[in-house]
Formats: sequence, C-alpha cells, structure tokens
Amino acid sequence: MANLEVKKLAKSYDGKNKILQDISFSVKDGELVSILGPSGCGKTTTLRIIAGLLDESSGQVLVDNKDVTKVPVYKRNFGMVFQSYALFPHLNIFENVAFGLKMHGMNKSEIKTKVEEILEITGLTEYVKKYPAQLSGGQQQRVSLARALVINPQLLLMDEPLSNLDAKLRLKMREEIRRLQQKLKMTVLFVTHDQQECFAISDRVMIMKEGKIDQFDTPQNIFHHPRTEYVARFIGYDNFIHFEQTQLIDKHRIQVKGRVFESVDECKNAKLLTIRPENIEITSQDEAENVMSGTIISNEYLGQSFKYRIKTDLGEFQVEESRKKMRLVGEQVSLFLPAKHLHALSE
Amino acid sequence: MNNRSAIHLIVPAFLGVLIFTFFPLIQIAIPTFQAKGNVFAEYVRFLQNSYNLQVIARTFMISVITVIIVLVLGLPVSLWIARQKVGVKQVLSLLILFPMLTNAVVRNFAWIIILGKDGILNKLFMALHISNQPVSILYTNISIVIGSVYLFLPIMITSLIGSISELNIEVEEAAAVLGATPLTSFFKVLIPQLTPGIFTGCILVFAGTMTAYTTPQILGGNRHLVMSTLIYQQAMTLGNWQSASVVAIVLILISAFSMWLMRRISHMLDRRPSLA
Repeated sequence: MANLEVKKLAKSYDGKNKILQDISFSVKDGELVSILGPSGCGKTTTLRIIAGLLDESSGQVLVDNKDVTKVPVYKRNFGMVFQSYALFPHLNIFENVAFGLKMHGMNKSEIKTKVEEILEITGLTEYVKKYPAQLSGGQQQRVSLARALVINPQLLLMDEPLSNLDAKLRLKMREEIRRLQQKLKMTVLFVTHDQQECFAISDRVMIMKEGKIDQFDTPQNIFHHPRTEYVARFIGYDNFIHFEQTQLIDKHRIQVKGRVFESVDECKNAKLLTIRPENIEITSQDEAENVMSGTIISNEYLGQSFKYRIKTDLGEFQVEESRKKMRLVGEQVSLFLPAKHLHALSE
Repeated sequence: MNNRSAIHLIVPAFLGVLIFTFFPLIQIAIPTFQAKGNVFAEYVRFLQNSYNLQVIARTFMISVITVIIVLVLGLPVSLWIARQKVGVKQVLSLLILFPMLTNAVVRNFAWIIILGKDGILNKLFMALHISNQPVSILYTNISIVIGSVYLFLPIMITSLIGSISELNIEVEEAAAVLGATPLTSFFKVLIPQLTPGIFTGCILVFAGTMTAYTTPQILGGNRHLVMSTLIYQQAMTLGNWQSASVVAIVLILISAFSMWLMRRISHMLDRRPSLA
C-alpha cells in the first residue's frame, strides 16, 4: 500500500466557523492509525476530505508524496468502509464486490478470480448469490470490507465501521480487521468514538478536539502519558488536582491545601495532576505524602469492583476498589494516590 | 382473538368496497353485451371503425409521450429537491404541488392564452424571427401533451422525492470511491435503486393521462378526440349511451393491461429480494 501525508488541512463552510483548523499528520506504509474524538470534533470531515468526498478549504493531501488534493474521488483508488456499510441493495454479494473491479475496467475472468479470492479471505464464499438485505449486520460489514479491499486500494478508510454492530460482534470484527490489516500490510485510517476499540487495534491514535489534533501517539504512550486534561478525561482519568507554579516544592512535588503530592512526571510548567479511579487506594493511615481524607457520597457495583464518589477538600474523586464488601455512603476514608500513577498535565 | 374471527370483521368493509366500486362498473358493462347473436358484436363494430382506432392510438400515444416527458423533466428536479436541507425541501415540495391547487378549467384556459394564435408563445416566436406566421399549437396533439405534462409533473416529482429521500446517500459515495464517475453512478446505482418509485410515478401519470377529460377537451378541441372526450361526445352529444359504455370498457381494459405490463417490467428490473 502507500503512505499518507496531510498538510495544513482546513475546512470551513461559512468562512468563520472552522471545522478543521490546519491539521497536519502522516500515516506510514502498513500502519493502522485511528482518529478518536467525540461527534463534531472533525474526525469524519478529515476522513471524507482524504477520500475526496468533501472539498477542503485549504491544505493538501499527499499519497506516496503525490498531491491528490484535486484528484476527483473516483480516480483516487482508495477503499472506504462506511458506518451504514452502504452496500448496493440491487446487486448480489458477488456483484457488490465486483463493482469496483468493473469500474477499473478489468475483464470478466480476472474479476471472477479476484472476487472469489477476497470472499475466501473474508469468509463469505457461501453468500455469493445472496443480496445485502438477506445478510446479518456482521456479514454485511464483511462484504463492505471485501468490496473495499478487492480493488487493491492504496489506502483503506474506515468511518465508524463497527458502531452498528452489537458488543460481542464488535469485538470479533475488530480482531478480524486487525488480522487482515497485518496480513495484507494495509495502510488504514480508522475513525471511531470508542476509546477501547481504537486502542485495541491501532498502531497509533490521533485524538481530535474541536478541529485540532490534541495528541497523536501510540496507544501505550497516550494511556500512560496523556498530554492534556481533554485526552486524560477521554481515556478514563477521572481525577484531577489543580495547582499553581507557586505551589511547587521541588521538581516532582507540589503542596496543595497543606497536603504534599509527588508525581512521576516533572511538575514544572504543569497545571494539573491526574490519576485513574482504579489506581487510587483506600487506606487507613492519614498524615503522609500523597494521602488525603474524604467522605463517600455514592457507591456503585460494577461487577468486578465497586465505584465510589468521594468528597475531599480538593474536590470530588472517583475511586474503584476490588473488595468483597461494599463500603457505605457516609464512611470516612483516606485515599492514597501512588506517585507512580500520578501524572502531570500541562493543559 | 384468533385469525378466523378477525377475518369476519372485514366483511362489511369488503362488501362496501365491492358494491361501490364494482357495481357501477358492472352496470356500465352489461348493456354493451348483445343478448342475441355474437355477445361482443358492439365491440367488434367499435373496433372495426378506423376513426375509433385512431382515437385509441392517439390516447395511447399522448399518454406514453406524456409519461416520458414527465419522467425526463421530473427526475432531475426531484433529485435536486430531495437532496436539499429539510426546510428548503419542504418549501420546494409545497411549491411543486401549487399548480394542483388551481381549478382545472382555469389552468387550461391559461394554456389557451399561452398557446393560441395570438398567444404569448407565437408572439415570442415571431419576435425572435423563428417563424414568420403564427404556428398552430393549440388544438393539436402537442397542446394536449403540454397540458398533461403540466398537470401530472407535480405528481411524478412528489412520488420521486419520496423514493429518493429513502435512499442512503452513502451508497452513491461508496460507488464514487470504488471508481464510478457521476454518470455511471447515476445509471448503475441511483436509477436501479429508484425503479419502484419511477414505475409508481409512471403508472400514476399514465393512468391519469389516459383518463383525463378536461385537459384534452379544452386544449384538444373537437377534432382531436381522445377516449374520454369520445365517451362524452357519444353520451352527451349523440345520446348513444351504449356506444359510450363500449368506449369506457375498452379504456378500462387498455389502462389495466398497461399498468399490469408496467408492474411486470418493474419487478423484472428491481432485483432486490422482497423480504416478506
């Protein structure tokens, strides 16, 4: 396949309200990159501009260092999988998959070989004669994937391909997509709003906010080192301690409201400390570093653990604890925030 | 309640429909059959008359041409309207239906003013030196077609807007990404998906034009009779009710057969399996 480079891409419908604000990024050959963000953050807009379905306001899209920005959609030779699958309802599965090859002017016997090969890989051989409406959601999804792959695209674009499937099938399909992607060494751009989904299958994840890229890194790095409060919140860091630079004690320690907290990260030029609910420990000891006290204001049973909301003089904290018995609302507890899980954020 | 007793409940409605739709038809049909000799003698006599055959052919041709023109004009317009934003779409759909709110007689007299010898169209032709003397458009088959197109275009457009709005636009985008030019996508992806809507529209327009009375009466005059004006002439001018009934029955048969044929073609073209 090919590599993709996006340079200063911007989109605006009315000249004032900017949906995309000069975003630049690149995707390497054979890499699966996810664009993650809530609805309205510009992720689908980015994908549609790259596909050629939407005109950019400014900027460039390069594939293998060739500018394709002004190439019409039907000449770009990309594969695309839509959220609605968008299969041709009037064509059977064979004809659906063969459509792209026909458009590229391939002869009949070649089309037959190619289509049968891809149907074999995607496990659809027995449905050749069926129509889309006769298949289940998961099967339609696979047809849509086969149809996109059969033309041997330079780039595969996927727009929330799994969000119309039920939870169990979603898991299975994402494994299948990852397997195919690695087997065929595809360059894939995958748009989703599901954090777990994109961390599970991506080489790198791009988190978008209001038309800008907030963080673009490997899932591991984002998970352990979120750059901003927005990213942290998106990936499940629910607890924040705000501080000023005047409250710095030394490189790794701050003092807020008489309590000292130590972080793994440097606190200089940072504004926030953050920690995940499952990394906070409930202890009996008080009066030590990285410890504060509070009162439980709500409890919730999650199956493997309990989730508590705890009111402290530094604000509300969410804590997850695995324990046999549920703690009661109103109980006084001390929270220990281990330094190795306490991360510093600059925005 | 089981199914069998549920069926009993529709008996009154069923009888009502049966009596009020079929009784008048049967009443028209009965006098057209001869008691003595050949039962179909009246029909044979009607169909042997070359003037009558000419009227049938004219009616049929006018209907077919009207359907084709209405479809060719209606499809792009309804595509454009159906893909507008919701608010704009509603306003445009309403505007399209506006001509249907005017009285049929008034509407056709408006066309007389436009198409007549001293009409706007002829004045325009002469001003632009397209012709040196007035062209007769009014009281020809052309004026009947023009009137019918005007009458039935809103019905076709409304019917098509409905079908187009139901389509998933991502299907056409998928075709484009797969390499289909806009033209290919139109013929290979859009039109096949629209066949049921197109045929519903065509059947409505065809049946409407076949049986329309006011438009051919006012715009066609007495020398260009179609079947419905022929019925009127036979019954009201000549007082020959039996002959009028024969024409009516023939009209019904031709319309019904044409509609059946169109349905068949539509089902042949629409390969999507119906999910019962």
